[in-house]
Amino acid sequence: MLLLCTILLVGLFMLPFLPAIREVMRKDDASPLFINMEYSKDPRYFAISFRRLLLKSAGDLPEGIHNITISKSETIKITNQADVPSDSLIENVFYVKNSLKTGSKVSLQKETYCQGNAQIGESNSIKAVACDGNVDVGKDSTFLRWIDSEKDMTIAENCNLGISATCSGKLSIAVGCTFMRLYGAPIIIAENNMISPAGGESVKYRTVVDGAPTERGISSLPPHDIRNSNLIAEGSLSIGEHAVIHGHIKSHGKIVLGASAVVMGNLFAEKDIEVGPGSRVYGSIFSQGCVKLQQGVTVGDAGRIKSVIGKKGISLECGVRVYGYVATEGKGIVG
Amino acid sequence: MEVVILILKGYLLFTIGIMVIYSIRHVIFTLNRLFSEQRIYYQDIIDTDLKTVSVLIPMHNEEKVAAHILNLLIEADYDRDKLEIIPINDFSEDGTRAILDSYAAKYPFIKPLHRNEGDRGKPAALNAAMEKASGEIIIVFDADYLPPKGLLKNIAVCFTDPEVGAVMGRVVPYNTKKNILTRLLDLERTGGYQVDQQARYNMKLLPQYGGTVGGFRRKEVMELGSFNIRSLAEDTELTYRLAVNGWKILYANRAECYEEVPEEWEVRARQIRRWSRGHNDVMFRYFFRLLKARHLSFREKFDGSLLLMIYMVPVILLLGLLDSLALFFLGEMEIFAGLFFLIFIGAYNTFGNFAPFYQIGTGCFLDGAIHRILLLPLLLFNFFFNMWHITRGFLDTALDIVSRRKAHWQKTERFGNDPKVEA
Repeated sequence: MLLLCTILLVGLFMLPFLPAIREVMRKDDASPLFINMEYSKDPRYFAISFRRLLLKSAGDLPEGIHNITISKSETIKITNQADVPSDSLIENVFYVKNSLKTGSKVSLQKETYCQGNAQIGESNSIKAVACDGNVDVGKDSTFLRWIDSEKDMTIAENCNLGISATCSGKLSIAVGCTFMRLYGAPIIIAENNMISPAGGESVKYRTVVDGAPTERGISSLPPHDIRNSNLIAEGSLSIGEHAVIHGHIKSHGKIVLGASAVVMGNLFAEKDIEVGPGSRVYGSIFSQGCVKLQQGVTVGDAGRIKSVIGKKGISLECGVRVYGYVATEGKGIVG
Repeated sequence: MEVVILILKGYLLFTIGIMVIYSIRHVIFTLNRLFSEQRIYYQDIIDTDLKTVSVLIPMHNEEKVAAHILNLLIEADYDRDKLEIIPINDFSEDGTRAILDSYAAKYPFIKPLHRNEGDRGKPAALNAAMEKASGEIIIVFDADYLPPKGLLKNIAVCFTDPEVGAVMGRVVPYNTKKNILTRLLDLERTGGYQVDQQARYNMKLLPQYGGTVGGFRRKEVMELGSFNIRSLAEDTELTYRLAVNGWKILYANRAECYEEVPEEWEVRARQIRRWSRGHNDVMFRYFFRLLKARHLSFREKFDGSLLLMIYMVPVILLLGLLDSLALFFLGEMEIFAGLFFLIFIGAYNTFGNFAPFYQIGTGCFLDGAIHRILLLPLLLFNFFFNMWHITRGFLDTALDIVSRRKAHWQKTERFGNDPKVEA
């Protein structure tokens, strides 16, 4: 009986170790966790990677239908020029060696690469487009993944821009569009409604003074106040109209920046950030909550890249201009 | 005698209280990672005006690995005009000097610092290099690390926040396949970084700067007195020094870097004993300063205190075990039987140790590394191993304080002649 109990006890004690011993012997999951050693952040990564893979597989192929391997086996349609009629459906990867034009209600179900200019019609449904020329997108179109241009891009009203809309040149977006990531030099919202930003267009880029002192415990600043320091607020921070801050701002609550205020540095907040009409922020904006840029706000400056990051959402009103990158995990809304 | 028994029983209850507190702490961390909203790090920020960076790599007899880390840093995507790399040849007696000089001849932004006099050890080497460095931000790597191309930007970007004093990235072992020790250490790292550090970042507590794969502001740290050359845990000390002076420490889970973990139990024992000695020294010096700090919230102070005491907990447990044995032989174990207490402490490894089962399991789950979770029961042995050597480290600290002897830096032995990731 004692022997039986001992065996039982030892058996029960060993029980949790048996799967462990098996894993030690078999090494099913012994490899190091994967780190991409080549990863380098690029807002246009999707499109650039797609172009590279497609040209490697199909760059030398003639017009027609072919089977190629990009990341998996695909059928590709290659043409020199494309004028896709309204209500058409293209199910293959689409490679246009010159310009692309689509009518209304066209559906491109796989990735498209256009080496000339692209003119996308109204109410199109497109998985992804990479274009080497300019891109014009008609109203009410939807992109499931991404849209990218090597030059300028103009987006009409009420488009869904998918995961990212990026270009090397100017990215103009009309009201009613939704997005997650934008990249352009600059990004301009509803250009026709543009109002002059505080500081004026001719303002030369000014950096924050190195070693600027830090002020803590501030919850509000009056209108027209001028501060030559970094500001750190334990709670929310409200900054009056026409105030000028020659430093960075950090708040553990919300930041509300009044109309026509100027901030030379970055804005960081644990909650929402609201930037008043006509204000100018020369640095980046980062919020763990939402970011709202009201009419005529300008972020960054020509020749430099700055970012607007709002974890839960971003709202960009008419006349907003951002030199660089805009991203949210939530919903981005224009207008 | 009654007073002694009362004290012994009181201590037993104190031990249980400590275990309960740490258990709750780690349950909260784990639940936070699984179900709560996650704070994002700053890696999404793209900014052409990032600060100038000096990368410091302390090296003592590192001819086996020196070229690897330099080759990887040469490939980094950081603006070359804003980058300098300072490998610190700290009293090396092998071919390290020649390797560094050959790189310096080829790449002007690699500026080796050869040290053959003055104090030895990592803190002293870093202090000397900071005097020479010109970067606004210092990023430190140990010589056996393999930094990916985008890592420097990922680390440097957080200093666009004016309140951030230091940042810590995630360390991932590359020699996991070597033996059972490396696999268990891999699990500890997973729990420690993927869950513990990230949860502390989410909850705005006090993530820890770990001395490598991390960065800090050069001028500000120098103004605070640079590194304490007597400290064996210069990273922990910097964490608390910055925190009590109003700076925030961030954790960047996406800033991942490979490292080599010890492949021999003896080496691991020395490493953890050194960590314990250094960490406990910091605990004695910073505990009250932390509680009195003006710019820290109650939560930061409370959790910061628990973090400070983390290398004292195994000592408390070991004493608790001895306490229970004493009570058993005195026939005074109405509270707990000795065997039960042993089991209780073993079970604590499951519920409350600094890298407990569920925390590691959750980390593996989040990493998508499911099968290695099966190894968790083996950490029971690791726990008792750690408890013993951490206690030895604690005794070292106590002796350091009593005798005022000077602690000497001990480098962790390297194993790889050709560091690489074995897929």
